Amino acid sequence: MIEKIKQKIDDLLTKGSVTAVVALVNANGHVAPCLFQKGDDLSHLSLGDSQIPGDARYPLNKVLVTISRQYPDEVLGVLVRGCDQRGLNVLYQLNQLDPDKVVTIGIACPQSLAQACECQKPFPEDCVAGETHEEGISQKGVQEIEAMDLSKRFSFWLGEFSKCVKCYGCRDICPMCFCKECSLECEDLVSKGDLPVDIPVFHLTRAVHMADRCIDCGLCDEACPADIPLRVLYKKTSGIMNTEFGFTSGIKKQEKSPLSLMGPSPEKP
Amino acid sequence: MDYRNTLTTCTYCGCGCNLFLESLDGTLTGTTPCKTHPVNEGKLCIKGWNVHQFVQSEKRLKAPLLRKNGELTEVSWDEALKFTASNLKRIKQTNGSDAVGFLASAKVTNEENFLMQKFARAAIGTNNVDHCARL
Amino acid sequence: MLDFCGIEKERLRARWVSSAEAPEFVDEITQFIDVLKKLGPSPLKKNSSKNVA
Repeated sequence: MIEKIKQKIDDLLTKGSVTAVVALVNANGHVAPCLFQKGDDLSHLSLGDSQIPGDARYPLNKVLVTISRQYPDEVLGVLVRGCDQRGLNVLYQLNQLDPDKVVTIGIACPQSLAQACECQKPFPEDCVAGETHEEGISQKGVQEIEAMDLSKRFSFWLGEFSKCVKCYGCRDICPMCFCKECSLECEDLVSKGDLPVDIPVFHLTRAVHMADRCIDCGLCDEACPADIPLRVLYKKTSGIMNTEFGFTSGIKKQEKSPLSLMGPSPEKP
Repeated sequence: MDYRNTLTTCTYCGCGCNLFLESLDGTLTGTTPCKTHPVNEGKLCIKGWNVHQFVQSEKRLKAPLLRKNGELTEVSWDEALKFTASNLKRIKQTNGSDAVGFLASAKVTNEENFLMQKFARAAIGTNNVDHCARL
Repeated sequence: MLDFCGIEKERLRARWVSSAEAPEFVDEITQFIDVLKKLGPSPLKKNSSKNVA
């Protein structure tokens, strides 16, 4: 699979279809985001797999936004999985990226990873490598919580949120977070300094803010040093968006978020 | 288009989390935790997430400052060093070595901190060495 | 989301009331107070961060 990707990237760079490609590299024994330009050595390219598939994924969309802000006229390539593709669709819609300046190099996630992520669509639009799997998605995490009664749910989440050290890692790593003034830093909402964090204000504010933007990549969950099951929380918000509005972030290109529309409610599906 | 992720260790506490300092054309743009490192496994605390901020901060001093008539004024290195050396000598003679305390920093290298404590212990002759991470 | 996190969803109420609809506003609030009294103190109150050591 990785050879096909190397070939594709080499093609794009040699032909000059793109100025550079945002992907991953295995250097110094670690996987890191990397920018490949024409003539660069592609032998250490990585797809984000270290011990198991997908355990060394990074928010490549975020890197793309950082670079394209400085170089808005350059066409850049980017390695994408299914979640990254959803992320790009949302970023285009929110005017953070110009679709004409992005070329995707798609990889389909293996079944094991798709199941672990409970991913709705573990492959991007244009797949260069990997077999696409259409797995029925289970929502085990969310279902487990919903099976609990109210007070058990409360003590569960109280326990989880109390572990929070307010590192803001969930926000810093999120490929969809780009607000210059973050609500989580607004003192009227989230008090400065004290631990434990304002419960449930901090986490629910984030969940609601990400309701129409979260693409379920799971990087927040992986970045949490307290192992709070953030993904389950955000999967629930996305589930509500789907039930109430028939909306899933990034699944359809050019679909506006229902939360950005004023007027009568859209027809329920 | 010089985009780099430089693998390095967080300078703050003694944990030793590894992270990538992200830079674009020589300017630091952010910090990303290293997911494959055994110490932190892709996680960081709030200090680690913001370790890139002080490096190119505009608040950093560009010249030594000396308080003259109650106001901090820029002086030359010669003047600053002469002032410091003569006063340290004086305090050591009149009040003793332990009248001086040394505060090291988490934002400098281990080598610089070593020099600081060596100076404190060997040159001045005191064990009064502390560090912001202990507070 | 409140319900998902174990907080009774009846504690949140969202209604459009115009400033010209004073009696409706009073009714709404009175009903809300009744609901809240039946629910009792919020589970967050006894576990508020001010009480955590």
